[in-house]
Amino acid sequence: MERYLFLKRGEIFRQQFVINVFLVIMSIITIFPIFWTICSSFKTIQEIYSISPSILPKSLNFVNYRFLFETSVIDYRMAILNSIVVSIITVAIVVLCSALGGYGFSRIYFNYRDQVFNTIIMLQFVPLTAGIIAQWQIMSLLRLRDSLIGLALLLAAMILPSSLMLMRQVFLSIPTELEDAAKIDGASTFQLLWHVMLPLAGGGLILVAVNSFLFAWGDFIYARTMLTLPSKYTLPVIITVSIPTTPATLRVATYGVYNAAALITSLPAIIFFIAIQNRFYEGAREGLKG
Amino acid sequence: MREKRYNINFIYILPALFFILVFNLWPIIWGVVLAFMDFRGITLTGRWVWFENFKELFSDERVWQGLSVSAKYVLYSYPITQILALISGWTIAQLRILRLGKLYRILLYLPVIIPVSAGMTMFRAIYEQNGYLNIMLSKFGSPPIGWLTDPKIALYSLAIASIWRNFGASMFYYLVGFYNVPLEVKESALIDGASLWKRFWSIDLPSIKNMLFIIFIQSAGALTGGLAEVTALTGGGPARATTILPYYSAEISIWGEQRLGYAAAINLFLSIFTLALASIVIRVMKVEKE
Repeated sequence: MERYLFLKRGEIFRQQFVINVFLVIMSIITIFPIFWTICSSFKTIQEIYSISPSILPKSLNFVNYRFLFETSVIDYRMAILNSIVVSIITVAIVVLCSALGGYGFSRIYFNYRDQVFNTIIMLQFVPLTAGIIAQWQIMSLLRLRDSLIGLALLLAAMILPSSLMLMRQVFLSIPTELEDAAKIDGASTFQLLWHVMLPLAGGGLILVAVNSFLFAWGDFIYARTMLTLPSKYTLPVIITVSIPTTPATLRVATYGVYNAAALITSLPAIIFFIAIQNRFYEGAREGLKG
Repeated sequence: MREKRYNINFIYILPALFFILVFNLWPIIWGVVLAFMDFRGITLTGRWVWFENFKELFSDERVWQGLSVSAKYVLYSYPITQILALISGWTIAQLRILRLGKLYRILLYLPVIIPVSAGMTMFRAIYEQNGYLNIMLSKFGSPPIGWLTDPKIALYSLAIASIWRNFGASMFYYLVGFYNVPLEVKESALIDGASLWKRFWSIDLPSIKNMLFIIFIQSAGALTGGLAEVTALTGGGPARATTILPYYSAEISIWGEQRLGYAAAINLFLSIFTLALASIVIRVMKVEKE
């Protein structure tokens, strides 16, 4: 018996070892492009075009980052600002609308409520290509096409279905006893939402906020289609558009510069994701169960 | 209580409903209408042409070329994405040390969190003439390869970048599915001392059967994807080698001669084609189940 247990423990150790080897290899492959990007963002033009280039930069050289913030050819600073504006407006709309809407869909009864909700849920599965041409036309007609606010409205509408679904789930998980007590005290539905429900739904709201931030900050295809004025470009657009438009004479900009820009674009997203990643998985586990 | 159903409290969902109707649901409906019209540029009125767009589409060589590029793109990227995602998700769920699991799932999910255009910019630097891959090749004495400039290779390069970018998202769903495998099932397997391989095939994989079913159906939906990756990485080139169908439709409308009606018809055709394919997949899988 003793011997059997001992063997089994060895077997488990062996299995865990194999699993870890596989996952370490996968992680290295996944991280490598990011690692290479970090390295080359610190390389000078001589290092990048040298006859025997190396992977690691010779020293931490900030020339690419300085170029990003000082160049007048491409306005990266403006793009950062635009990205922040679009993200903040999107997050504000999504948080407000999904808090109200999630409450409406979970606690208040009205005709066709479930039909409306199911239609909204279905929208998540419609491919982007099905709507984008018409969206472009509608945005043009509403004169919202080259506007950051317009882009934010569009992005909010695209992320709202999943946010509503999440907030509804959060509100449904709050026991009704609390509301019943407040109802007896004569609270209105809005007071119920504001004083009873929202304080308990804080975690869900944070998840919705970060989720919509990640969506708006990282959005490429809507920004790339709706924004045509270079002064309105957001970060994800400018890092791809700027490459061919850089005049050859100004090619102090090697791909080191674009890598630096890509890193700056990625950093806020990575930080926010790591900050909430536990909640992210727990939320999904609960959501997929229900 | 019956009157409650008719109270005005549905105003809670109105803000969310407004955004979704104007910018999400209506464009999808309008996209279908648009497919039967001739709309050029930003005008208020189009002309009904009924099936003219579809007639043109079926004789348009570039549509078929785009469809075949899309199919190849899915064929090169989707199966590998799913296999990597499945194995990664499963191995993470098997880990005994939970902290390690947390670390791996952050690392493997990073490409999804990083804005798509930043990720593609990273790959552009890897594929550059003097980027990482060609540096490595030169160390082995091989001439540089035009990863993004050779029409024979560009689609493979795109597929690799797309696998890197997308496998984490699928891994997330598998991981959640495996986490939700009932504990009793997992423990009984451990007591039996089942090998890794056996546990995977006979216990864990069957318990996420429904999820696998959805993944298979979605493989058809993958045909409508890839627009962001192509736009950011290759711009459809070289020599149209990576012009997937959604890119072609954007190219002739939003970024080009603004043939909105025709582009909408192409997208509708793609959606119908995808749905037809999905229903075939469903039928085949039902037959196999029996």
